[in-house]
Amino acid sequence: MIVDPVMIGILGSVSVFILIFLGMHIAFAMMFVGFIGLYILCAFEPAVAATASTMWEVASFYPYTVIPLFVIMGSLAGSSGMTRDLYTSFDKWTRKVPGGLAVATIGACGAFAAVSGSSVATAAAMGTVALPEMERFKYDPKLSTGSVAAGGTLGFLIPPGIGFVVYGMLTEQSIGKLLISGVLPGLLLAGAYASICVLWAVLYPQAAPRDVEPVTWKEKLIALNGVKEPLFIFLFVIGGIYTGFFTPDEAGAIGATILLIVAAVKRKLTWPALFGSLTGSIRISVMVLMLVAGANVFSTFMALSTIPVQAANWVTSFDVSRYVILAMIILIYVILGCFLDAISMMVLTLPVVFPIVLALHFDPIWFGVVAVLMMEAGLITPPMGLNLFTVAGVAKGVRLETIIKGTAPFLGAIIVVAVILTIYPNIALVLPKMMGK
Amino acid sequence: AEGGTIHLKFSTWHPPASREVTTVWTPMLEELKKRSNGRITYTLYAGGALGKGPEHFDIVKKGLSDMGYFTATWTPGRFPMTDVLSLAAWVDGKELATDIGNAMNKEILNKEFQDVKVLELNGCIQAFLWTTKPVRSLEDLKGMKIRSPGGMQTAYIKALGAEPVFMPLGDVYMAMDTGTIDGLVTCPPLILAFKLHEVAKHAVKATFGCVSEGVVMNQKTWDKTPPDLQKIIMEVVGNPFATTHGLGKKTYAQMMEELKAKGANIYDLPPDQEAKWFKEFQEATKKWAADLEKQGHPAKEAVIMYNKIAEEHGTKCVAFPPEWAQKK
Amino acid sequence: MYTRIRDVIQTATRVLGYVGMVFIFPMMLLTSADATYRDLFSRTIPGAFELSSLMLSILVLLGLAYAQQMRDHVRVTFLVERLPEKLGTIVTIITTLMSMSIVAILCWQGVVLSLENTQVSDMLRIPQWPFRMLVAVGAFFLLLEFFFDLVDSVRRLAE
Ligand code: NA
Ligand code: NA
Repeated sequence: MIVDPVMIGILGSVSVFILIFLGMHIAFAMMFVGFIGLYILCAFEPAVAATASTMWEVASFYPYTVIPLFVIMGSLAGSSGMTRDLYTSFDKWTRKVPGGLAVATIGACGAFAAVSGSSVATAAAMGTVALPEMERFKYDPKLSTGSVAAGGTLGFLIPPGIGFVVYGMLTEQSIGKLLISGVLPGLLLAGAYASICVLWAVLYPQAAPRDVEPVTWKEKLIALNGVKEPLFIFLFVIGGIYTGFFTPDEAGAIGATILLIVAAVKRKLTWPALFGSLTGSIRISVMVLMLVAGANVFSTFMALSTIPVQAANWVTSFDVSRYVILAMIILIYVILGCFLDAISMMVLTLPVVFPIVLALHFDPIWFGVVAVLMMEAGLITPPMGLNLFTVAGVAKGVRLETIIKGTAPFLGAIIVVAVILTIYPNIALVLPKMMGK
Repeated sequence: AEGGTIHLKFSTWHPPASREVTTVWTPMLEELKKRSNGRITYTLYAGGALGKGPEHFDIVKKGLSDMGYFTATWTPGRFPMTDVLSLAAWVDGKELATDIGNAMNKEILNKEFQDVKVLELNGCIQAFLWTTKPVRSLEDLKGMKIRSPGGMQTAYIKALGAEPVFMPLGDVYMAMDTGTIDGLVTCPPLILAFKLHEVAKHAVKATFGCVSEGVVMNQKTWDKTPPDLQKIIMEVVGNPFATTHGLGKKTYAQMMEELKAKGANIYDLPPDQEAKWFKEFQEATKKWAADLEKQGHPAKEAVIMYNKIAEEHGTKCVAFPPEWAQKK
Repeated sequence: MYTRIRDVIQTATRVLGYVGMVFIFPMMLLTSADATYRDLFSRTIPGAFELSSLMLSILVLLGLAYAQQMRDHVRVTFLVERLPEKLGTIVTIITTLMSMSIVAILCWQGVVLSLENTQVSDMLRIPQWPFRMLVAVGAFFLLLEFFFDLVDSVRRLAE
């Protein structure tokens, strides 16, 4: 029997959507359809073997150790009372800004992104820290979860980030220049995210309730006291990374160890709190990595279906203005990003897309920034959006639908930033140009 | 079977724009198509689209891909004897590495590959030590974390007093950029493919050998292939580097120049230091052979055979313990 | 009888999860010790990387079924909830059977791939197959969790 791989691929993508809407667990829906697809396009034996070995590969992949470690760090910070003090102080200082705590969360995500190359780790750590606090201040879960899921994507654009490394490798561009090119667009995107938080709070004041009671300078200064400890630990961890004492991967472990000691010394380490931190950590890790495994099986199926290559070929075959083609490339990336993890998406499409981009006289470094922006978008688009799921794991009792709705405006911000970068490419290029040859 | 056609899925973990894909795998697959008058067609999956590097043997064995390039060293313990192709030797072209690997396969290594069709086996081009800070002596290496491709190279790194760390090549750039590791041992084409010269600017030109690799084909697909096409496949893929002239001696010399032009600082080890390093390698070889002999593998015989074949091909195995040469 | 067996199995699932999560401590301490040791004594702990990956695999695979019991595996429910009750239950039964089929494959192939595996870790030469077997263990308990959900759905349909 001759089967058209593209047709099977399209049927598979539609089936995933249907199964997810019918309430099937997302990880298993992707794994199931991916398996059936491999079976049809290949054979039974390779399909079953690939599925089971993917599960193993994901579960034993060293870089993923950051997930349990950062989650436990975040939740120990919570149970030691540290984040409570931190957000109380944030509140006193940012009370004049609508949605101030969400803005502060974006800022903290940006700072975290500057040391972490992983968006999921950023979302996991910041989620455990920020979500309970925003809940305490009665923020709309849409706004709070949306800002954390989106804020986490900054981990890709603000260097270091794995997205640029993959792009550089696939396109023979200097990774050093690429990483530097992400700095200003990263700040721009963080600014855009913050503006969305402010705008949201202005349009829907009940989403971010504000205490109108003015805060005196004295109170503000006293509140700073609560920042002392978390700030010390934050500076210790970040300083340790910058001075090369330890690596971002190690930071989660070291931060968690310090917090464990601090909590024990302050006698805030109760058994229930420790148990809660541990179970939280394993449950989120399992949930996220099960999704990664499902998505990886599905990505292999997509690769065999040749859809990404065909889609890239198709968009780039039109004889229209180069900006129309660019817009179509971005659209294709948004669609593919719904199904593929960021890295597979680039591996499968860039060999086709990149030569076209060069032929259209776009700057290769600049396009790298656009590509990484699209990878970020993929992290928050359903059904396969790792940051959405990470936040869903951290935010107990918030429905996935709510989180998806909450991130939608931030997805808009990514597109707006892509447009701004197209109009002013120098935002991306000025720093790498200064680096010279 | 005359007139039958076949479609091959070829999978490799090399990035799509890398020298391996553009100058070896694509031309090789095109050559198959040409020599078979279009009866062999193909789809190339590069960049690990069908699975990460270490999974490539299983990808082919189980049939997810029909043909693929696998790295035996990345699955330690699985092809214990094939590690012999990774012994440190001055091999400066992959066509040469393949001639040696194929000869070893015919003699002794084929026992480890019963469940696939081996089309070719090769060691890799000589690999050097690339570090973020300059290394001049064994003292400098103490306590450094060095990414190892596995196998013999792990033993060598340990023997030199550094700490070997295994991780996929794709993660190495970030790991060096952030200081997780201080360097790596790999061959020049992969330095270029993964842009590692940007972070590891200092190389020490002492051969470490490199990983053992090869092209394998799914047994069922091979059995289904018409005999005349099987013949074409063996001719073309039997030594893909000779067929395509990709990654041969000439390219290798060019790559070294390219790396220098890109600012890599390549240091020639003075003879007395070099002798010290290679002495450590020879000790590692002895230990490796002794461990395998204990498990019932004829490892010493394989090392002696490798040395002999390497010398016949005009190259030198620096990890060969000289005292083994006398005993015939 | 069914309730008794179910309770026992679900307790076992939780215990597995608790065993898995304890591995966070050695992971945390090993990584911290490795970094400290390197900074202070220019020495590293051999195989810290390998041990961390193996511990991650224990944690994740032993936790597979526990996370399902705690309803952590994400899903979208708004459409199923709006369907007529009977239809919604039938849909849930079908999707649960699909999940079970893929988990059964993980379980079966977990055993097969583990038994045929001869790989060891690079530094410490730790055999990989026992850890790979955990894929089957985790999937087996996950399968049972799904089975209990299935029984619940079937009972609801029967009512
Ligand atoms: Na980052
Ligand atoms: Na997505």
